[in-house]
Amino acid sequence: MATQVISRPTKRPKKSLSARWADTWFQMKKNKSAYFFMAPFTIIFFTFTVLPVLAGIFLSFTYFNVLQPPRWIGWSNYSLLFLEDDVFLKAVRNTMVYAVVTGPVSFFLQLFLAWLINSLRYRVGFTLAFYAPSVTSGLAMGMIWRVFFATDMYGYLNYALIRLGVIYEPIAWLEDVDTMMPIVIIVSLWMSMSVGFLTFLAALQNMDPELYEAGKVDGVRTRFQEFWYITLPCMKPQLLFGSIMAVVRSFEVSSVATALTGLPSPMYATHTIVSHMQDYAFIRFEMGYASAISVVLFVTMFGLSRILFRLLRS
Amino acid sequence: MAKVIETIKMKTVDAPWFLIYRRKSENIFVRLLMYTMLINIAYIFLYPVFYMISTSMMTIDDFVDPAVYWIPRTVNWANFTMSLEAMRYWYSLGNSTYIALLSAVGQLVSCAMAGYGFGRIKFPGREFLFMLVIFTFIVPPQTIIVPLFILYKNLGWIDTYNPFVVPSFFAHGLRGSLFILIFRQFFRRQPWELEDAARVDGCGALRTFATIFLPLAKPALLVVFLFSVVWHWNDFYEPTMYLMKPDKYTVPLRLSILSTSLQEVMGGSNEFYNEPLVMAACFLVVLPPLLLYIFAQRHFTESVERTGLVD
Repeated sequence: MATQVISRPTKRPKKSLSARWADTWFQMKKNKSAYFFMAPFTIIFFTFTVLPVLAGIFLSFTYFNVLQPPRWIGWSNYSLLFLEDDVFLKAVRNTMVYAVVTGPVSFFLQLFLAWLINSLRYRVGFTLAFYAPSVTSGLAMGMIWRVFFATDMYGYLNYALIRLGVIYEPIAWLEDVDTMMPIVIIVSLWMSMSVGFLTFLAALQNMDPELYEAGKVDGVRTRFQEFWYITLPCMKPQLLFGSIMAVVRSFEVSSVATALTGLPSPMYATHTIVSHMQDYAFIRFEMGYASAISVVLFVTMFGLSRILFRLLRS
Repeated sequence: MAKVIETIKMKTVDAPWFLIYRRKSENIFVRLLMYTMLINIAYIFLYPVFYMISTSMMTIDDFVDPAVYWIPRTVNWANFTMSLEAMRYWYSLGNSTYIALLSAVGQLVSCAMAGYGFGRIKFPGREFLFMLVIFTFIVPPQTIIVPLFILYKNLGWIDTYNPFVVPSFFAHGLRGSLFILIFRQFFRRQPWELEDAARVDGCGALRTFATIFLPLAKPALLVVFLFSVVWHWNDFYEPTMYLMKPDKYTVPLRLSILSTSLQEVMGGSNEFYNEPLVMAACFLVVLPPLLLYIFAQRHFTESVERTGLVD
C-alpha cells in the first residue's frame, strides 16, 4: 500500500573478506546509535531468554525434583516422552486440533465481522461489543462459563434445554469427554476477537475509497466482488499478521482449558502440550521431564518462527 | 493494477438483484438483515457479561427461582460487600494497579526505542535481532517457565514484582515483542525527510527520537499503553507462578482463592459461597479494565485506525 520506493541493489562487485569486514565496521560505527536503542532488548533477551533456554535443555537430560540437585540421566526423559507417554501423544493431538480449528476459525471470524461492521454507522458500538470479551479476565470469564455449563439443574444451559424439552436430565458438559473439547473451543473463539480483529478493522478503515470507485467503473457489481478483488489484495500484510496472531493465540487455549476443566482435565480430554508440561513441573515436580516437554515445544515453535520470519521480513 | 482490473472485468457476471452493490442507497431489506444478524452476534458476545451483572445482584433464592429472569426481585448488595471483603479488594487492587501501570510505562518507553531502532536505522545485525523479536513473539512464555522460575528464585525475585516490572523496562515482559512490532511499523511509515531535517538542525539520534518521533507516535503510544495495562491486569499465569504470599496477590489471583478466603472471613462457614457471590466477585475483577476500555474507547479506536497496527 505504502508507495515506498525500494531501490534494489544492483550486482555489487565482489569484495575481499577484509574489505567486507571494514565495510561492516564502518556501517556499525556510522549507525552506532542504533545499538543504543537495541541494547535494552538484547541484554535482557540473553539473560531472560537464552540463558533459561540453555538451562532448560540441560535440565531435560536430568532427573530434577527441586529438592535434590539434578542427576544426569541422558536421553531417558525423551525416550519416555516419545515412546511410552500416551498422555503426551494425546496432548499433541489436542494441541493440533486447537491450532487447526481455533486458529483458522477465529481468523475468518475476525475478518468477517470486521468487514461486516466496517461500513456501518454504529461501527464503534459493535467494535465495543465484539472486543469487550477479550478485555475481560480469562479467569473471571471462565468462572462465568462454568456456571453457565454447570452440571446440576441450575446450570443455565441444562436448565434452558430441559425447559425446552430437548433433554430430560442434566448433562455434565464440563466433565463429559465428548463435550469438553468443543466447549473449550467455543469459549476461546468467544475470547479471540482481539488484536487481529482491530488490525483488520483498521486496515478496512484506511482503504483508499478511490480504489472502490475505480473498481466500480471497471465493473465490480457486488459487495463480494469488491471484497475479493479489491479489499483482500490490499490487506495482505494485515492478513498475514492476523494469521500469525491467530496461530500464536491458539497455543494459549490451554489457559482457557485449565480455567474451564481443571488441570489434569477428566480423562485428559482437553490436555495440551503446555498443560502436560505444567502438570509435570508444578504438580508432580518432575522438572527434568517437564523441561524435556518444553524443549520439544520450543523446537517446534522455533521452526514455526523461522517460517514466519521469512514471511514477515518482506 | 491493470491486471487486477482486467480480472475484475472478466469475472463480472449478472448478479441477482439482492447482491447488487450500491454504496449510498443500500437496499433497506439487506440493511435490516445485516443489522439483525449483527445485533444477534453482539448479543452472543455480550451475553456472559450481562449474565454476570444480572446474577451478581441476585440473592440465592432469586437465582434458583425459575420465575426470576434477568431482573432480580431485590438488589442484593451483600454479594458485593462480602466479595469486596473476602478478596481484600482495595488492597489487591493496589497491587494489580502497581504491576499494570509500572510495566506498561516500562514497555512504552523501551518498546518505542526498540521499534525506532528497527524501523528507522539500518545497521549491521538488524535482521538477526529482528528474528529474535519474532522468535519471542511466537514462543509461548510457558516453554521457558521452569528454568525461568529457578532463575528468579535464585535472584530472590519470588514474591516480588520484579519478574513483571524489570523485563518490561527492557522491551520484554508480557507480549513486549508485539509492541516492538507495532512501533516498528508505525515509525517505518513516517516520512524519511524527518531525519534529514533533524540532522540539518544538529540533532543526534537520541534527540531526534525524543523530540520528533515520540511526540509523533502518540496514537501508537496510546494503543500500546492500553493493551499493556489490560493484559497485565488480566494476566493470571505468571502471577500464579511468581507470587506465593497472599499479601502480594493481584485481583485475579484473589478470585482464584475466593472460596477459602470467604471461609476465613466468615469464620469457617461456607454457607455464603454461592453462584451470585462468585458472579459479584467476577464483576469486580472485570470492571476496571472494562471501564478503562469504555472510557478510552473513542481515542482507542481512532488510534488503532491511525496507526493501522501493522502495515
